[in-house]
Amino acid sequence: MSKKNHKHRVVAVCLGPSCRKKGGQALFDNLKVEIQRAHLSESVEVVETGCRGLCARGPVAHVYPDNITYCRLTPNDATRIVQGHLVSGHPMEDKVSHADRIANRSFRLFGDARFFGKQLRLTLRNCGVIDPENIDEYLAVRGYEALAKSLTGMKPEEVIQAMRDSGLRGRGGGGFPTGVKWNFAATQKADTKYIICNADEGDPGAFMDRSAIEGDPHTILEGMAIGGYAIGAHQGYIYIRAEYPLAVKRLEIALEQARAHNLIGKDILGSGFDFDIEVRLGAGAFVCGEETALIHSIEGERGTPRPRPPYPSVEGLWGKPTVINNVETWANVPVIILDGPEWFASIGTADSKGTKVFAVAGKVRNTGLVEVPMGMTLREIVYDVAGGVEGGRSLKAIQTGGPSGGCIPAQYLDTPVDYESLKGIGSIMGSGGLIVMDETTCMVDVAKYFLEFTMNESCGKCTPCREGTKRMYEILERITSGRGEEHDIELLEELGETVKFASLCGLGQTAPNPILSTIRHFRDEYVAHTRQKRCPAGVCTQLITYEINDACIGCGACARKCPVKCISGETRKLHTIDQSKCIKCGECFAACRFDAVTRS
Amino acid sequence: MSEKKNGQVNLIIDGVRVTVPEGTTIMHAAEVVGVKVPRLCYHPYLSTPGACRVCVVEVEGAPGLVASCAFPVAEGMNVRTTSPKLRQIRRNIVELQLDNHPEDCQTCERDGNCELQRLAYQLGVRERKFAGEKKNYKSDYKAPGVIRDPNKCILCGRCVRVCGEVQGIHTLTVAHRGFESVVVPTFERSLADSVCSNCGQCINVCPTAAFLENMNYDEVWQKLSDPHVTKVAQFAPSVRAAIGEAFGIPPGANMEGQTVAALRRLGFDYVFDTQFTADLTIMEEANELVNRIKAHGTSDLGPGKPLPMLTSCSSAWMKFVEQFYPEYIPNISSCKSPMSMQGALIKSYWAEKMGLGAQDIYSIAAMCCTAKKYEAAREELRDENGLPYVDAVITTRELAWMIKSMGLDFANLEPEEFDNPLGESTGAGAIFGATGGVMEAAVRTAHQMLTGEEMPDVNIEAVRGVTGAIKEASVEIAGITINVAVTHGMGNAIKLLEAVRRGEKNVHFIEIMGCPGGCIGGGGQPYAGQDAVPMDRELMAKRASALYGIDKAKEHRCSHQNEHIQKLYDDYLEKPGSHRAHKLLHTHYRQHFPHGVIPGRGIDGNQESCIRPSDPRFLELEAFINERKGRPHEDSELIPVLHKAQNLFGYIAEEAVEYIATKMQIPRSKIYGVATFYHYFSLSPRGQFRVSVCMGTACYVKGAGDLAEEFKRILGIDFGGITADSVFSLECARCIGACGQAPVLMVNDEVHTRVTVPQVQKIVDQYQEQIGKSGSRESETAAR
Ligand SMILES: Cc1cc2nc3c(=O)[nH]c(=O)nc-3n(C[C@H](O)[C@H](O)[C@H](O)COP(=O)(O)O)c2cc1C
Ligand code: SF4
Ligand code: SF4
Ligand code: SF4
Ligand code: FES
Ligand code: FES
Repeated sequence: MSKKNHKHRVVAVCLGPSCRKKGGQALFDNLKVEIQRAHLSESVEVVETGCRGLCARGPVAHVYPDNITYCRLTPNDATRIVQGHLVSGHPMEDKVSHADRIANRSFRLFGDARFFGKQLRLTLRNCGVIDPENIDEYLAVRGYEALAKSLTGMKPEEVIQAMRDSGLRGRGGGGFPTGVKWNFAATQKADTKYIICNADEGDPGAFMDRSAIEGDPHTILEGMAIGGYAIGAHQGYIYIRAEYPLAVKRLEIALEQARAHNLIGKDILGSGFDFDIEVRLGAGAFVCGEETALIHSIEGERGTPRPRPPYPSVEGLWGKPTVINNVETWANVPVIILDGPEWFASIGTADSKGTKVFAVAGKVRNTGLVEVPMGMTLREIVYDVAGGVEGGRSLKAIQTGGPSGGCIPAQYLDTPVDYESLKGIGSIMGSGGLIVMDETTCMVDVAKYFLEFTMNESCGKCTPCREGTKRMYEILERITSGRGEEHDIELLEELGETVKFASLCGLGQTAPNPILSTIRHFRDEYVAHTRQKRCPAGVCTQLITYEINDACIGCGACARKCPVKCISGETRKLHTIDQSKCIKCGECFAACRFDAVTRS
Repeated sequence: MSEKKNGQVNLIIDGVRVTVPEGTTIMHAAEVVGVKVPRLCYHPYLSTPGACRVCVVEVEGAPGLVASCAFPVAEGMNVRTTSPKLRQIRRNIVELQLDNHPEDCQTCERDGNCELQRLAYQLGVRERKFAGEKKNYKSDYKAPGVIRDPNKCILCGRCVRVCGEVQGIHTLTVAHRGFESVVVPTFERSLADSVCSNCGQCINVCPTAAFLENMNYDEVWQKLSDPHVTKVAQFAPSVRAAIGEAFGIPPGANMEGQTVAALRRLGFDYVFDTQFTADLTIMEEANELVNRIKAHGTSDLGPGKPLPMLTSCSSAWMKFVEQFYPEYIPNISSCKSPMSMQGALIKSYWAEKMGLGAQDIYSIAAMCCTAKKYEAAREELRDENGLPYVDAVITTRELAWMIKSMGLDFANLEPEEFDNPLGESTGAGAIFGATGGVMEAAVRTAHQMLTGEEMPDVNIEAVRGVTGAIKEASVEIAGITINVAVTHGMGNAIKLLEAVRRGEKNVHFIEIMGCPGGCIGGGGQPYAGQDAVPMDRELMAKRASALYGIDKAKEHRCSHQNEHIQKLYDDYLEKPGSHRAHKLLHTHYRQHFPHGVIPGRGIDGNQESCIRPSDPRFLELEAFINERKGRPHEDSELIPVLHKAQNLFGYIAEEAVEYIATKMQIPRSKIYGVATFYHYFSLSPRGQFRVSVCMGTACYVKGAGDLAEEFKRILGIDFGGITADSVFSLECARCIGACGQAPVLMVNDEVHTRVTVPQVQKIVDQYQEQIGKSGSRESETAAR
């Protein structure tokens, strides 16, 4: 977000009768003054426009080419628009309006600031833009219009058809076509059906769903209500982690407001359709993101999965047909209804339509949420969107899909992100966690980290996952502490296959992925750990050796720091480390000012 | 492929075409083509968790393997039940089970009878490639009937299911999760302090030795070589109907004579028959029924009323009533069980006859039942000096071990006769062992008592059979219609008693046996053989047929026709219900705790009285629960209620679980299982300041591990620990969604972002200081 983005800009101030009366003229005048004062007269032009139909929220101004509309402006806002937006590149979020139909879309394309430049914000369209605790703001950005359109102008079958035509696939990890899933549930004969929003978001390092809910809770409610209408359900549940108190609060507020506006509840908008939603809190179990486990959890049971079939769309919550979708999936629904499935399907790749939100974390400059069209390459995400690797180091691998995913080495950076391509290189799209790792990361350690996670989160119901993750973790621990044998790599592969193929649910079935993918792409690191008892990245402390080379001038700084006194040597002579006593604390390494202590 | 029609599905299994009804599982379809897919957690009478994964098969087109026990067939499906990959995976799965199991087969009670051992052998597990850490739990040997060794458990879950689904008792749950999963009673207390009925069905269904009877045979061996006591044995009807199986004799053989002979060879001086006192029980019980009817008529029905009268010979059932249905205690016949009657007679009537004192006699009972061990230990069933009438109870299995360890060729022993006067029985005494038998026997005698005439046809087919859950019949005796009902298995008993309570069943006399099938299916019977299924109904039917065979072959088929019984009354007891009969043959029951919870029954006064906490937090919890009453799927509110409880108390206290169990009518074990599953719930008090370090990926790669180590070092505790002064506790959190500011940690609800190792000490000090300031702030308020 830098100044170099100022090309030619236009601030169009509405001076229609209503806006003018409410202070539009003063605003217009102030803007001119401020722009001059900021020496922007060359690059920014202030123009006057006629009524834009937003009189209720005037005075209104629009900034081109950022495509940002401000509303409820006061004459004093001129300074903020100029200094904040035009000079510093921070739009005045609190006054941005999204009822703008210039692009004829329900959402806004962000300006060309670099971080947003390659993004396409569909599901996050309102996040950070509207006040999530104020339904009026959501309504102003065509909120609940999709619901109204569905209820009044579309048959349930048509809604489902629209979902099928859009090509939307589940964003919770599996990538199952949403329209097909809805259709299963819709065609079941049952007196009761349910809708569930899966907001368990257990993947450590991912926070897409949290942000989506905190920033735009109504979209989720609207999507769910449309889903309910499509399949014939009258009750929905949002299953959300207890660790997200703010998201829970915003959902509760949104629900209350939506009920008050008759957008949720009985006889919605006079259509005769009833739909209500209840929020249920999780209690700290990653596996409860798995749909059957989640259902057990809502039912008040231990959150263990069960074999499928029957699938939830046939026998779900309390045995009734249930559609369960991810938060992001639900957030796409109103967009598809409003802007049409064809338009939605024009974004993305042949088999992966629309956008995907990623939580970019790890060793990158800009960590945070990004939403990009499907098919963008990993390279673009990391370098163009997230600003590249932190500290100028080189990228070693990208981990997607969290504990269920795999590590993608740098040579695959040009892989487009879509469901099939990522699967093809041993990872998965997953729910959107994207961790960037640089050369200081040990891939065996990463595998161990994820295995520790899955081992702790295994529900324990089925043998391969309960016992197998523990054994794989033990083997990795052996390897990272220098007690591993080369044969252990084969054991990991064999056990990995067993756990992958024989486990009951997705947790176990994917638990070996971090191991199998790192063995596949970084086998040499495993070999280094087992054969040479060496950690190339210098992460596995027990495998590090500190040695003193010829650069040593014999100052003794290292020996003084060594907590176990295992460095010896006469003053001004080469010092040596007694490897049998060294505890690998690294104090000597830090102490030497002559780069004579080496770590390997 | 041919067309799918009238609910039939065509598929191919291992290259063989087969047509089976829609909804059939692959496992059953494979049986049709002669393949028995290896299996472990599956049991035909229990729900199918699909958990062990031993039964996986390949289905063409399916991405992974599928569990054949749970996967329904589909038209055109192509299944392979064996392949190199499948064999390896199955072998690995069983190896994984073994790797977390003690290596003590040779000294294990189930050596040779263990399903795990059998499976490992069958699948060819010949090495232990993945061996590592093993579970290590304390065993529970406290209960007289059933003991547990969780280290042998392979978590198939059959015991949990049988106890909940079949017995309706819900003693057990899987607690915790992942590698820490373990089958336990609530709060990992002993079975002795739980609602366990000691029925032993968990032993029957367990594939390993994780559940066993509390063995008494060592003590019996000891006593057998004691020259100063007279050794007396009795054994139950069902022992003779099943013990042969332990010696490889096909089920259904009556081994009465061989068992008598074997007991004598073991060193018992006298061998009496529990069937004799079964006849006596009938005399007393029929008399009691007749008296109740004569005194109160047949219309005053319900819990706490004179009728229906409930039988009292199943000891597991008795414990069950005392804990779950105290309101039915007045309905229970005051008769002791046949074993206890026999025990009392041996040390009174017979001892007097023989000129022996009670202390001179060592009296044991071989029973099909594990609960009989509990019964023998009951206070109420001791003599006036507080000594037990029955000194030791051994199960059919224990008796078989004793016979084997003596090296007796059981099958070929010359059959011998019981000793008398306590060894003679009628057919009525024999059928006691099968469900419906007591009822049939009682009706035969009640008929004679009310009319003075014998029943023209003594066979009451309607109450026989092991398949019917609740069997009902009406008999006309002397112009009175007596409606009877018979059930077996405590889960069925609940259904029947609930129906009676709601006034939906107009019955006068109810027979309840605690185990499915009756005593023949008792928890002490021989293990199912090689290819058999525990609790198998066909097996039960065969055992029952041995007893009905005895009945049919007897000259006397009604208890009152037993000459030794008549003589016993003439010489000693006078008449049924006499003062002496009451003293020796009758007992009483009283409410026992913990009070059992029956889901969906609704809370009653008995339970209300158990919990009256004064702490106002309970009132708040109650209000929260009451708010949710009457909502659809009330039980599903358990997790919200646990959240509330944790908010109120700072953790899930045991009293809170007790309270919730009663108020919501959810079994304690279930609450415990749920609370321990979710890491958000803490079962022990937590510190005033709960430090949770995020170990999510984003935080981890930014050094959260080092922060955790620093906290551990400074506070001197590990994850899950609490400092000695209860100020700090340390937890490991998973991504709290603040990854952008990693590494992140929370202290109570305060989030600290971008924390560095040197800051850790500062953070600790900062909170430590707060304590200093607020002085003696109540830790309870802080824990909120
Ligand atoms: C172990 C495990 C964890 C999961 N966690 C989540 C989750 O946190 N959020 C989510 O939406 N789906 C999660 N899923 C996927 C769900 O089972 C399910 O496929 C998804 O909610 C369906 O919604 P979708 O079609 O919109 O993706 C998880 C699956 C597994 C096996
Ligand atoms: S794979 Fe793991 S999490 Fe899933 S059912 Fe099995 S033990 Fe539970
Ligand atoms: S003995 Fe019976 S009641 Fe007790 S735990 Fe076993 S099955 Fe349950
Ligand atoms: S105790 Fe036995 S029956 Fe119960 S889960 Fe363990 S192995 Fe299975
Ligand atoms: S027998 Fe099928 S999963 Fe256990
Ligand atoms: S990984 Fe720590 S907050 Fe997400």
